[in-house]
Amino acid sequence: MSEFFVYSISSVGSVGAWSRYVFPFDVDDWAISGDDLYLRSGDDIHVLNEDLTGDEVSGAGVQPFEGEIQWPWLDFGQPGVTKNLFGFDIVGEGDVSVSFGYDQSNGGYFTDPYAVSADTVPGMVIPMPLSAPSLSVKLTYNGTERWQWNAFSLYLQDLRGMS
Amino acid sequence: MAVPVWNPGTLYRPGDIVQPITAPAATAAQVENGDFAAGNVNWDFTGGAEFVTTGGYSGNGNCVRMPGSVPEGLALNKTKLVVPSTGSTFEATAMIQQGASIAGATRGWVEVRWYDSSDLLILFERGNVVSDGSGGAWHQSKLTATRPAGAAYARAGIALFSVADHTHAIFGDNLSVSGTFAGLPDGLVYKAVQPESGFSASDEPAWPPILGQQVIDNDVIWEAVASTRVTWEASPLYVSGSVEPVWPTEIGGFVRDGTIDWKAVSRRVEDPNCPNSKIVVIAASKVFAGDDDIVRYSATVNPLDWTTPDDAGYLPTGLQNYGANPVAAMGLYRSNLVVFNSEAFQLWQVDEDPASMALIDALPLGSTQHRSIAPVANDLFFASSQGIRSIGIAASSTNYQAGDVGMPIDPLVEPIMRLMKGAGEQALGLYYPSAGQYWLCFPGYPPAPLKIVGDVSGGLVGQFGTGKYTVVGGIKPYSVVAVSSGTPPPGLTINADGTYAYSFAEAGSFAWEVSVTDAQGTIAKVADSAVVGNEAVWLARGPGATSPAYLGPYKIGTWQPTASAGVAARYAWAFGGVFHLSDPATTAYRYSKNQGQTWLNPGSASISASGGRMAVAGGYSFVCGGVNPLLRRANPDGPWETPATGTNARANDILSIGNRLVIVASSPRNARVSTDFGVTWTAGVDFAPGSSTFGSIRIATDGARIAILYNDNLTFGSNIKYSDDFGATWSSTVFSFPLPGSSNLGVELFFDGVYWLAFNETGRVARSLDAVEWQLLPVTIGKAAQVAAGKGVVMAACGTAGLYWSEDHGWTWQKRSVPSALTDVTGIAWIDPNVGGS
Repeated sequence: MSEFFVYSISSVGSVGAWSRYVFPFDVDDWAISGDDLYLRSGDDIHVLNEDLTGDEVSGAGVQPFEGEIQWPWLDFGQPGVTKNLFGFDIVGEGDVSVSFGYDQSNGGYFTDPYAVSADTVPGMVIPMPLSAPSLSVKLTYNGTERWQWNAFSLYLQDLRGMS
Repeated sequence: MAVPVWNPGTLYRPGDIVQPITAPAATAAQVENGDFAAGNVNWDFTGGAEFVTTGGYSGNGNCVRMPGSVPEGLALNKTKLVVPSTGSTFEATAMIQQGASIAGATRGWVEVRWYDSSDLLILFERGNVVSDGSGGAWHQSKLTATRPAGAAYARAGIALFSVADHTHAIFGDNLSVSGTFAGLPDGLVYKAVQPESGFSASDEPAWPPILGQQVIDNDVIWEAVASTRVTWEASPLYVSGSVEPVWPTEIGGFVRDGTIDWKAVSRRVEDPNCPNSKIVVIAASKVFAGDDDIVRYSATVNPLDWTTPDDAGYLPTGLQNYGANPVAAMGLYRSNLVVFNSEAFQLWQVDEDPASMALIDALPLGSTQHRSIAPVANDLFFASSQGIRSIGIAASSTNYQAGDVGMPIDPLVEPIMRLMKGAGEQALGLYYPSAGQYWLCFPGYPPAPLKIVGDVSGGLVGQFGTGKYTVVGGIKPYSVVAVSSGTPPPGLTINADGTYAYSFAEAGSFAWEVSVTDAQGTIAKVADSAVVGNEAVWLARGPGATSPAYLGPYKIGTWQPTASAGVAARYAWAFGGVFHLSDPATTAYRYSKNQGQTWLNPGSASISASGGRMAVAGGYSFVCGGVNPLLRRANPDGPWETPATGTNARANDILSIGNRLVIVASSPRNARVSTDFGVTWTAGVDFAPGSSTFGSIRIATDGARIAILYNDNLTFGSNIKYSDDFGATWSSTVFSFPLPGSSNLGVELFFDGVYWLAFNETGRVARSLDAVEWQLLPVTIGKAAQVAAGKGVVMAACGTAGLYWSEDHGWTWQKRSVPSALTDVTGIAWIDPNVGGS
């Protein structure tokens, strides 16, 4: 396996963002030919293809890989005060499993992943009753289709201080 | 210059030269219709000459005739005869008959007329005049015509003459020519000779075959001319040989290949100032290479030169700010060279001119990851021990500054960097322009689980070998590989890197565990076990009816006698757990199915001199009969039978390759193959020429190739040949033992699994890896009677000289002690310890 950190430069304000990939094969070396990135892994040469959703592993075919987006533990207001989450909406492409971290101590506790469609804005809010002083949202795309995340909305209500 | 081909409807200027698409027919070598057989064809008649259909020379047929009282006539054949050059000659003949004329009143002769290229007559020549042929007799007129200057061609004809007052007809026939004619002239092409440019016609003209003649082609007039040209012929000065040479591996070494001498040259930069470092950058038409506390650079546009003053040289990075540590990485930022060490970077302005190189700046941000450096947008990204950092120019100024672009992922990168540093591995960085991304790769991370694999196979006491426990996965560096529990067999040594060597010292069953720990403290273990035996694996035999055979362990231990053989058999064999004793010259034979406790007799075996060699195949045991036919018996207890009789079944040696049996004998002097277990035999060509052979003939095989050792009774040479078609054909002699003589004959040939070994009477040993290239070894043992091998040991029974063994495929030999009663060791066999008796 090989671990990659990729810094993508956004055209908006020259802001960059990091993503992390774990390839299911060792990468010995690489080169760019034309517009394509080629990776060498032993006697195999891989080319990066943006139309594919999986990694082709020698002898094992194309294997989809999960994509995960997780936010840090966010206070959503006054720290330490319990907030009452009652729903969320997501905008993106590809079906996604949503999980909420509600206890930031000791690695955090997360709700069971909850599969929703790619874009939930039309129609009702997706209900998610949960109370916690801080939350970490984790989105998991299973990699069997192209996916993209655009926006995520949390519907919260502060509870009384010290509650 | 190639002459262009004529094209239709093309504008040709005067002087243009073309070659025809359809070349003209070659000029004639014989006149056409010279005997009028085709009638009045191809002839021009002038004067009184006329074509008639009677009175001819042949069968009273067609001919030319001139009635009397006409002064002269000429039948001129239209065939144009071209001779090669001025002065060349040809012969013309014609037959003349004067009918009822009186002598001299009519005359006839053969005539040759020479024309120039404009068809103008320039000369005519006459043959002898026939003027007296009364009574209807035909006479020949003959002429040797010589080409005059300016002549292009000749026409031959028959001229006739009559005095005015004579009325009898005269006849001519059978015009013929002979000689050397020109065919088509060399280099025949056509030149446009019309005064002005003009177009060619739509169809190709009838090209004249004669130099100087012209043809009209619409507006163009073509004249046949000879092109003068120089023909170059290329021939190679150097030609490689038919087989690839053995390339020298030393730099500067030569090898001859056909007419070429090849010299081995180095592909490396040989300049001693080239540091051969992996920290390399190309800039300013130079190659820069980190070299400890300096950065060397090559001459401009010459990366082979690292020495020329004022061109090649070095940057003294160690003498500048932050120069205490060796150069560890280099990159380029905005055409400047960034030299990193573990504590900081220096920014150098580089230039084709060494005088223009200068230190620009230095900042305390280090990197040891040379391959992680990549320019991204306006910055230079690189991996440092803290994470991914960058060099840029501060906004609105030209000051260089260090950026911490990688800070968000520092907690992820840092532990990996620490592990990779311990393993001595490098991160890979690259800018992927079409995606606008900087990629940083940590190959092999997260690593595969730590694993150790390896297996010491069991064996026999005294057996030695090497191997390795291989560690994969985990994080380097690894701890030493060592036994963590159990008891390995005595004589096994395991080194820190996992390699091991053994020379088993004790028999027994052993089990142990080998473990290794990686840099993260993960422990990997492998359980191993080995059974070391010391059972009898050799069956030795000497002569004597009441003597036993002897069973011996691999190397260490004593020989144990079997039951008395009860027969004076000298050879020992072990096939599938069954022992056999046979004799090279007598009918003596016994076998045992219980490791020699009892010997069995299947009946009389008719073995005579130079027999006794054995093989098994297809459920049969075979024994060579010498001059008697090959014997076989069904295993385990069948009686002897002779599946085939006659000379084709004679065998001095035998081997089996699968279900194919191959036997050889001195008479007939060839190899024979049987695929039906000895019932029918197919003979190959003789392996030795002319005279007969004598002494031992031995064959051996590696499963595909067969080698043969035989002695020639004319030269006493002990020769080795090989065959790749089971003896159907043989190579020429590939090896002969030195000092041929009647007391120095070849005696044994053997394949030990890796090497082919040949033995002769005076104890010399030759060996080969392929049965083609043989090497005489610098050892002498006794005269081998039988040779056997097993588990890396070759054992040779050398008669009264004793038993010799080799662990290095015959290069060196040691004498093995044998029971005192065994004073003459004539048989040896390897008993496969994994195969029981049957």
